[in-house]
This record gives sequence, C-alpha cells and structure tokens, in this order.
Amino acid sequence: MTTAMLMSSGMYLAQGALVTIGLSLGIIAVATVAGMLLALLRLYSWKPLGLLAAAYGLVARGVPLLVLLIGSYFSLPYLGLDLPLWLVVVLVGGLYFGAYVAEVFRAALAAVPRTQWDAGRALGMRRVQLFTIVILPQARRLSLPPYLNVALVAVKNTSLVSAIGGWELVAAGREIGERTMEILPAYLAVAAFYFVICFSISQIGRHVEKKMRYV
Amino acid sequence: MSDLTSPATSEPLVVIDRVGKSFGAVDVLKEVSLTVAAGDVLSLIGPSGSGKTTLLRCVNYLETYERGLITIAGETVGIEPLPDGRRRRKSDRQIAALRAQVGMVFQHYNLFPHLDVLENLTVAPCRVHGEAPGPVRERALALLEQVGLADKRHRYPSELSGGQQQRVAIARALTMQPRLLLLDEVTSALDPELVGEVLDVITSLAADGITMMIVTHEMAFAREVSTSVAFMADGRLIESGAPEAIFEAPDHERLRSFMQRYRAGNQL
Repeated sequence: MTTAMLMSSGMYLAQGALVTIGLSLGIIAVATVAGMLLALLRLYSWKPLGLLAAAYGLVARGVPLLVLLIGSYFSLPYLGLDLPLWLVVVLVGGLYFGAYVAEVFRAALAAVPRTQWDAGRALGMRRVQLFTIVILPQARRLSLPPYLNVALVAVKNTSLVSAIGGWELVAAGREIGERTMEILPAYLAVAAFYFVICFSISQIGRHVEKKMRYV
Repeated sequence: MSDLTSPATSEPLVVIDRVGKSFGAVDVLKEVSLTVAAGDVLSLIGPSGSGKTTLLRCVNYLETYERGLITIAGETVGIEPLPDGRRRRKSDRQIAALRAQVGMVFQHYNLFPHLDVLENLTVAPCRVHGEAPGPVRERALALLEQVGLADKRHRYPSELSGGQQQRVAIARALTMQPRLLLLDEVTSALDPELVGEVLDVITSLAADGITMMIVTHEMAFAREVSTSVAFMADGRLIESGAPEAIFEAPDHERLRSFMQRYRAGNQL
C-alpha cells in the first residue's frame, strides 16, 4: 500500500469517525434529557406516571437496540413518518439509552441522604428549590461515573447503524477493507478510532469528576 | 419564671395543645401540651422512644400530627383547623414561610457537603428568601466568629471535626434569624471530647435570650441551661417544671426511676 493510499484511507475513516461522534452526541443528548425526565417521574411524580416510566424502562432495557432500530427504521414510513436514518438513530438510540440513564440518575438521587431534605426543609426551602440547590448538585456528582459508562456503551453501539445500511465508522472501515483487501488492518484502524473516542470521553469525565469533588 | 412578673396577656411564643400523632396503630404522641415563652429554654428529656424528637419535629412540621394543634406566635403550624372541625394541610408556601422562622439543628449536623462553610450559612437566606448577599454574608461571618470558626469559612464540611460541623450547623440555623431554635440531640453523635465545645455555644445562645427547645440526654447541661424541663415517656408528657423541681423533687414515679438510673449510670 502506498503512502497516498494510507493517507486517503485514514481520511476516509476519520470522516466515518466524525459521523460516529455526531450520532453519539445526539444519542447522549436525547438520553440525558429522557433519562432525567424518567427518573423524576419515577421518584417524585404521581404514582401511575411513575409506574408508566418504570414499565418503559423495563421494555427498553429488555429489547436489543438492533431490533428497535430495524423495527423503527423500516416501520416508521408506514406510519407516514419518513425520517432520515440519522434522526431515527438519534431518537431511538436516545430513548433506548435514556432508560439506562434514568436508572443511573434515579440511583444517584435516591443515594442523597433523606436528612439533606430535612435540612433544606428546616431552612424554609420548597421542593423545587431544595431539589435544585441541595439534591441535584450532590446527585450529579454521584451519577457521573455510571453516566459516563452508559455514554461509552452508546458510542460503541452506534456501530449497529452499519447493520441497517447507514454509513459511519464501521461501514467506512468495511469499505476500505474490501477495497484494499487488507481486512484485518482496516478493522484494527477502526478499533483504534473507537478507542481514541472513548478514551477521550473517559479523560474528560475524570477531569469533570475531579472538579466536582468537594473533598 | 415570668409567671409572676407578667400577667396572662403575654401569649407564649410556642403553644403545644393536646398534640397527638400515630405511626399506624402506635400512638407516638398522646395529648402532649406545653408552652414556651419567648426567651425560654425548654429541655425535653426522657428515655429513647419517648417521643421527644417526634414532638420537636412536629414544631416545624417536619412531621405531621393528627390531633391537637401547635401554634408559634399565634400562627398554627402546618395545619389549618376548619370551622367544621376538619383539618387542612397548609400550602407548601405557608409551611416553608413558617419553617424559615424556626431554626433546627440535627443530631447528624446535616450540613450541605457540596457547599463550603460560608455557603452553608448563606444559601438559604440568599437563594431562597431573596435577601441581599452583603448583609447576609456579614451576619454569617459574625456568627461564625461567635461559634469560633471564622477561619474555617472556606472549608468544606468533610474537612471539619464533628464538633466543628455541629457549630457550623448552629450558625447556619441562626443566620436565618429564627424566633425559635430547635435542637435535636445535637451532641449525641459527637465524640465525648467534642461535646463541651457545642454545649458552650448553646449556653452562650441561652444567655443571649434565644428561645430554644432542646432534646437532650445531657442531664447536667439541661439542668444548667434550661428555664424549664419537660420529661416524656411513652409519648406522654409526664412532668414539667423548673429544672430544680424536675431534678431534685420529681413527683412521678416514672421520672424518679429515670433520674435514679441516670445517676447510677453517671457514677459508674
């Protein structure tokens, strides 16, 4: 393989990696919002709504993401919703990982001692104030490590998109492998890209965690 | 103490009138009646499970109560009695407003671990009750000075000893400028050598005329600091009166045996 071919292959993979990063950011954003909402519903809302949120979590976590992606991408057009693949992936992936994020947030919120609520109430704080000033900052710190864990899994699971005809890092690697007949090196390169993305997320997470530490 | 000097016109600050509370089938408070005048220091003593802490938590409505009524400065606590005899829970806003006037210090301090010492004091007045940061900060620093912790103002709670944390918790409650301070076994979680520093702070508050209700197992302290002492057992108020009377000449058998056991334990 010439240097020029290596360079162009590398660029091609980098483009795939950008798509992967974009999809991941979209999924994580949707999952974070959905997860927070689900966790709040389960902990603090009207009971039936909480049960609904719990049921949603059970279903979402009980079905493989690939099945959900295939199912929605190929059935949504029949419902008159002709969404682009990337949007389906961001929404379905986001809602799927939202169920996991909800568990992370729920555990973290519940782990803040009840006595903190007592302390806030005794100072005349009302529910929402108490939640935002006292409970949420403590839960945020507790939830960071497991939250990052979910984020890493979400990044890697964007590779499923190549299985339903989408183009991202794995698809780019497959094309290069087929074109150059260097299958193993192509996939090794793909793996390296994933590793760099995930390693970066871990490092950013470690940095944030340190900043959040209050001894 | 003020009974002789002031006529019946001076309404007590806190009136607890035949208050009852049940956890399921268990009556944890039975017809408890007590009054606390402004400037008084009332100590609640009695065996574990006697309902002292529950009663204290009813006074700022951290616990609800099903029977009777508590009023602070004429305002009913948590509950609005309706003309037809039913009871209605007050709005969250009303309850929060009342709690803002009643400070509470807990057995386990319950400081906010993500805020430094000064922020622990200022967060509620500034971010919840809309006071200007400048005066609150000054007040907070003066209180930290008073409890001897001005130099720790930028430390986090986890960097402080238990006694220091509890002194911060007292300062935090006082930054709200409450009309009444509730102290719930504030030395029970402390190492013995740290108890003194916290009791000293409370003694100085009593000297400043701060109205307090204190749940405590520190009998010598209760006797020294209180203007009156109430003895509870099994959810009932058994006897109350001046500290000398309660400690030296108890009327009730239950209180006599409690005191005997306490003295025996102390002499070991």
